[in-house]
Amino acid sequence: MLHRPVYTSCGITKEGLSPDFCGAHEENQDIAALAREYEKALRTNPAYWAFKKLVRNETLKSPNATDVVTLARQIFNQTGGARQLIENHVALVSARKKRRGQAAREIQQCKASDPNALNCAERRYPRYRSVGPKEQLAVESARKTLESLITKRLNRISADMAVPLSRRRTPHEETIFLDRSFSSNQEDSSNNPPLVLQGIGLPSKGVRDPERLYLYDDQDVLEAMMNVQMNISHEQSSELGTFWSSIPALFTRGPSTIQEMARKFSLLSPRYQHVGVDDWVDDNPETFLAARIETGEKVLASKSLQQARDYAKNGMPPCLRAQLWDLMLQSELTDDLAAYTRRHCQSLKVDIARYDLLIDRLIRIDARQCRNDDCYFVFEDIIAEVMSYWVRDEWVAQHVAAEQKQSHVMTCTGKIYPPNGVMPFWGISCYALPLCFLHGEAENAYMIFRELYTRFFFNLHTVRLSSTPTLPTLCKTFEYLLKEHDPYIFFHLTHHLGILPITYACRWIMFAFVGILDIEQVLQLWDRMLGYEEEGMELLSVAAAAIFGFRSDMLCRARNLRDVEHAFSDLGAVKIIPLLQSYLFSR
Amino acid sequence: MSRNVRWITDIDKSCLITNFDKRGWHRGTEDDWNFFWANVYNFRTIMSPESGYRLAENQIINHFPNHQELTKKDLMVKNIKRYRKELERDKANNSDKALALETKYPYLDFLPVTYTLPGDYNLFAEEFRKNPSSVWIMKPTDKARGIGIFIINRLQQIKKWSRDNKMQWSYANCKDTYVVSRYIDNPLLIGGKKFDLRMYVLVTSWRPLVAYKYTQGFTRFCAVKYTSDVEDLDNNFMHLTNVSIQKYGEDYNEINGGKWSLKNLLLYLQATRGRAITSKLNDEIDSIIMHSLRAVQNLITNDKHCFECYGYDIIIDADLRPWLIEVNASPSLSATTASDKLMKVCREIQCLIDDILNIVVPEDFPDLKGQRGGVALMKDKKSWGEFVLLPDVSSDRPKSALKSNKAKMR
Ligand SMILES: Nc1ncnc2c1ncn2[C@@H]1O[C@H](COP(=O)(O)OP(=O)(O)OP(=O)(O)O)[C@@H](O)[C@H]1O
Ligand SMILES: [Mg+2]
Repeated sequence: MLHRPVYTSCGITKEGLSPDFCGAHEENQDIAALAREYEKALRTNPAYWAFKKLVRNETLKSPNATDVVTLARQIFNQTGGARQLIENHVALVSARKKRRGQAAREIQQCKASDPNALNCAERRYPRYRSVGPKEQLAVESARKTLESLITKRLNRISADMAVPLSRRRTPHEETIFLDRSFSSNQEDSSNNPPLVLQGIGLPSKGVRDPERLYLYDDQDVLEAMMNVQMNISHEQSSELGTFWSSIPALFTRGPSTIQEMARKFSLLSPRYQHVGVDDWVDDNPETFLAARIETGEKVLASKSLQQARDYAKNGMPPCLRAQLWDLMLQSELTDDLAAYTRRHCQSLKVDIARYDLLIDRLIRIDARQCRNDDCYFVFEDIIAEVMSYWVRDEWVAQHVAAEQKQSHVMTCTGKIYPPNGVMPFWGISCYALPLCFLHGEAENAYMIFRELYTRFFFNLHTVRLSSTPTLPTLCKTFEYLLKEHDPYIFFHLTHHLGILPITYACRWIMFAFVGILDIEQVLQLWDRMLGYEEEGMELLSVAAAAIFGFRSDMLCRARNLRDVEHAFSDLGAVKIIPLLQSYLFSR
Repeated sequence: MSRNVRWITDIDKSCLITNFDKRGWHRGTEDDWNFFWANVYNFRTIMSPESGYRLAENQIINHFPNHQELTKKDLMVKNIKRYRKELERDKANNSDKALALETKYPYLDFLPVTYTLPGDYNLFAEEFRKNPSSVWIMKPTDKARGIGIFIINRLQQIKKWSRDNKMQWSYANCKDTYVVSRYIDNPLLIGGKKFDLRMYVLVTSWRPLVAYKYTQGFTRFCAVKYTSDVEDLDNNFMHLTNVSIQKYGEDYNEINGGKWSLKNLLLYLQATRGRAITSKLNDEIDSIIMHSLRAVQNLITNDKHCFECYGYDIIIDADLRPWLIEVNASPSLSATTASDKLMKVCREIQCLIDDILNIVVPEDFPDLKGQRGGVALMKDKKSWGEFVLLPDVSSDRPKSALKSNKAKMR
């Protein structure tokens, strides 16, 4: 009974969650009621009970401490304590809400407005460029075209294989399935479509096996993007055609100059020490790393989201990356991530056994592509597991901002199909591959993957306008940068050789450089991307442009497609952070 | 380096020849050569007393005579066992050397319990009865590439096997032809698969000991997921990591060849196991190399014309403890993976050989100009490439030189 009054009367929610509640006296009444509401809601969260237990234990330890309230408050506020957890959670959730709200408003406004008015445009790109309803329509229709292509292919695959989109297994089948997939490693190959492996390298390398089974790929997305241009040019001949650029100007997000990027990502400057630079060029890399690790451990102990993000901007030592990424990304309010993970994945496993989805099969083939890579092949089984959780997880559908969703295919039962609301493109499992270097267990890798996916990767393969960077805007940014830094290369490739630079850059950006750069470099790049949150995705554009600059000699001399392919064939030795630094700051 | 070097080789591999060409060397003949890259069998023929061949001052060859002390499975085990006893004794006598060695390289218990057969059969049988549920691996002493290897978990299996092979094991004519080792049945698994680690070690002199470790090792994965299921004990694709075996497996993939770079392994271990335990593993591997070399240091003929690059096979168990499996004298130079990748693997081996040549060939070779002849004395760090020198704490080199070397390696 000792602890009871602590919660109900003073209300930790009141004291901790929002200090501004404690303001005016006359509002106390309402606040107490509100606090009780909050408390009730919190009861469903294990973190709440864990905190309660902690306070009780502490109280019992010091029997003469009469002032329980002070003690509870102290525990609540301590470094890395419940307060920090709640703050992180609130920050992540409200950022998501804001993004979603913003997008919804924009759509509302566009729909409501007179098709000839431009009023909604200013709000979307207040700083730079206006997007008219016509342009908006052009994007929409390009996206719809792509989506109907996907649906068509899905139905055709279903018909060809004579497999329904979704089928509930009989209890007997379910038992067999469970036996097979979770106990022994002998998978039943009769259930799998034949494996086609011909090309060398991951899908991000542009390897295209004509017999692969897929819904859409990077080329389809690129085409959809370029079709927007056509849609517009039809109506408005004033737009300049592909002579000047291959990505429609409406995808311009803001000023995209090297100077602007250098300003945005100023912490990348060589004036600061960086993991990825100083740990191998420095005279004393061990000392540098040791100091960096010490700081990192402090950040971890503080559990502060903001500190972790700031820290990430200068790169993470490999030994702390897994924990720090978790800190930066896990948006569920939980005091015990491990237990939460186990529970959640367990329920997904049940679902995997219960339903046989056509998408499962596509995803399995997709996951198997990692055999073609000498860095990721080890993780074939883990990646297949990660991706099968992903297909099932309705959390993904809920957390991808509403307006970003593809138009859903519905099953006959009226449910979203697939359950995560995302039609996978060819090579989608590439996004999860680097995470296998952080977590040995598929479950842990998955929990970080779904956060990364809903916040970052999802944007990298959709054709649409949004306040956050998306593939088209990133491609556009790349083009601006290329034309500023290496105009001759742009000219030479586009007009002498008829090769659009964007065909390479788009793929690199879309796959966030997985399979293009060495694994360590990918992680280094992602460190920075996560540190800068959504804006950080623009680093992908910068990286793509920097690689063109890096290979400019070879590209200038290129006489045909083979020469260009050759210039990009082996980027495995590129050190990405020094490259970004010299690209952005060596003027 | 002079361009007048005449090379010959009996391993006609482009990774060697490219390196010779790059240096502007010329192909020599069996009667006229300065640099010989030989396979072990030819080397033994050349160096055997019957051949009567004597190496000239300006000749270098890539093996040491009687290197079998290290590279033959049974001899290696005997030598290391003996060495450990000596070290214990020296330590008991407070020998500075032994104590220094112990401090720098404290990891000594790195050999899975091993007996030679048939000689040690009784000892082995006794051990087996003490631990009836243990698993052992039988390996012929004179074969390689996984040939003749099998795993047992019952004593009966050895008896049956020797009957089947019509082996008359008697103590009279006993020549140990097999070793039996405790099977490491809790290997570290990555992606559910077993792997072993291959490290290259270059020795240019035994007395004093001058040894370099190549920092670009690699791991070899089994293609089939590992289980400790007794029923799977005869599945070589699950238990033996030799590429020569894995190649024939259904799940073998030409493109990745089942190989990972050491760099990837360390990156993975740092993230999933932490930094301290990963660097401990690294140190323990150095320990394995150093102690195994010292175990044979005084046995191997220290011929100044010879150098040798050894391939260390190491298995890491689930507690991240490294175990020495064997040392190979002639690391395979053949590339094992498909077309494009073949180029890559070949390039890796080519770099290894490049670094070796830079370390072992003296500046003016083959002109002698008052030099001592044979393999180069230690050159400065710039020419080591991806090799790092393993500091030999107990050698007679002055302490100060040692310290500065150590500082450089950090
Ligand atoms: N004690 C052991 N515990 C677990 N696995 C072992 C053990 N000994 C050997 N192995 C496995 O068997 C494989 C072959 O063993 P080993 O290298 O000793 O034989 P080999 O046939 O001489 O090989 P090589 O071709 O390298 O000369 C090793 O790569 C390892 O995977
Ligand atoms: Mg071996």
